[in-house]
Amino acid sequence: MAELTRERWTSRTTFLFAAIGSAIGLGNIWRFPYLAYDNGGGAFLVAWIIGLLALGIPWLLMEFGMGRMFQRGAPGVFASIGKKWEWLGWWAVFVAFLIVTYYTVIIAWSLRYAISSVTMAWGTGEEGAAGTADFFFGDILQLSGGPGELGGIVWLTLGMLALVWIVLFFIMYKGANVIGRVAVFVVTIPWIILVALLVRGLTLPGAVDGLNFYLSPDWSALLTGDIWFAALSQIAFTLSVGMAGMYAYGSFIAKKADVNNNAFITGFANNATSFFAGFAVFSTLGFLASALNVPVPEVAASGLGLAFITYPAGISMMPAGGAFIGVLFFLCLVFLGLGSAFFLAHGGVSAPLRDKFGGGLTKVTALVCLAAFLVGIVFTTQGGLYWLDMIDRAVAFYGLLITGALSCIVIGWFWKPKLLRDHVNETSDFKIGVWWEWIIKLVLPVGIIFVLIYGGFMVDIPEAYEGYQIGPLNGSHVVWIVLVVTLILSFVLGRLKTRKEGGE
Amino acid sequence: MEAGAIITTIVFALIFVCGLVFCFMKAGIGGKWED
Repeated sequence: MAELTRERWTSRTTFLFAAIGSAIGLGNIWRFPYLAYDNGGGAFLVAWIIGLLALGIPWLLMEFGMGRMFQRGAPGVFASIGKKWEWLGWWAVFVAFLIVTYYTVIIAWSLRYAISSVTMAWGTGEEGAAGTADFFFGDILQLSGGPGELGGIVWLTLGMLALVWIVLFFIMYKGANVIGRVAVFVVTIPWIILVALLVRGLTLPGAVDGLNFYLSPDWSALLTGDIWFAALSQIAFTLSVGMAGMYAYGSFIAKKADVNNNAFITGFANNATSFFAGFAVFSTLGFLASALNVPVPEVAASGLGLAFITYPAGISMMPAGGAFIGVLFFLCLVFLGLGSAFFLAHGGVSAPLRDKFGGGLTKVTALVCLAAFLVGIVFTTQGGLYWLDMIDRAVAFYGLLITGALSCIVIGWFWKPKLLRDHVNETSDFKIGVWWEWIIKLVLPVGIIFVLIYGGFMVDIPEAYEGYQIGPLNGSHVVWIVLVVTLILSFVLGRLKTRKEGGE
Repeated sequence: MEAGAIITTIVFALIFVCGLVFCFMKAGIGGKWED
């Protein structure tokens, strides 16, 4: 009964664009290029491709396939395996929910920057380039002294956040039907913008120096743990797996449709976008270094620093067209962010809630948007950046990896992955072999646990995360508290009664 | 550009192009894109 009323993608094309749109996000532009530069250039790309084939695509295939097989979001999938595992799906839902609360704030900042780019509000020339950090921390964030000092709300950011959620509501309230159509635009527009940014970047002096730093291989890096941590973590974070949403996106696939090939296309398209974005970013960084007469490593940055401080500095130094490039760059971030945001809010949160409790699509979507907007207000305060950083560490690092590793263990060892393999092979363009089962049983859990320990526990247990202090608690305490609270809430939700099939 | 950077560019561009071409050629059991 539920299958008859379940949302469906209107075509394979719209599903693929939705899946690619959820995978490509801000990290493709601001995290990947720096990781490549910082971890041996071409050598990093080798580790990263191995990670894609050995971890990323099999993981993606598992989430698409489980969703399609059970026609449910993450909690419903795990409840179908065994009621005692339903909490695991809900934990992933909390990961998705918390991520989208701050991800939309970053989209709001990007919107403010897109508008500020028109007048180059942070200044032009060397003076402007030197003032981008002050503009970001002072004008945009009005940053307080620490996480214990929330300060007031930054009203312009709050207004933009409200706008973002209104847009998201109108994209999501009719479900997969409209999401798929919108996804075509939120994927192709950033691709077109990246081509424009690359062309502009390559025509600037010093661009080649930047590309040399991005790509020149240092093969000795392959022998270090750092490069494997960087590559595997990037693969885990970039494909939007471990965030509940891919199960729901898979559940919207028609019963006779392909799964295996779609997972490979999504993985390859995502990584190709990252690889391409690196050229756009590092050509501009090479130019900035040349214009400021400093070595490239001195301007190389990642994350918020790259997007909101270093890249605007590059724009300030451009001989012509800086304002236009600025608008394009930040609109690119907005579109990339939106594709991931409606994936998280709809696939990650709304769909599982409707599976469990029923309710109309419009009503549930409105409730999710409102709840996420209200939680997101914390990140629009003057101390919001610190909280964003800690919550990001808790859910987008630990939450995603722990739920991902546990999902593989539950599906691989407490269920029969052969059932899933047979199910997806029946309708897919090509078949996957028994190797895939061993990746789910062994390779993925081991790879994810390595990332968790090497880049997580070994760093955050001995020292407070980022040195943050809030009264008696430090940054690491906040991370552990968020994890424990969401875990307890997941158990509570897992024990609640599920609506009857097909009921509202 | 340095030789290492050029080779990296060519090799990885080929990996992505060939990978995607392979997937699209396989798309549709009956030779059709839409299911």
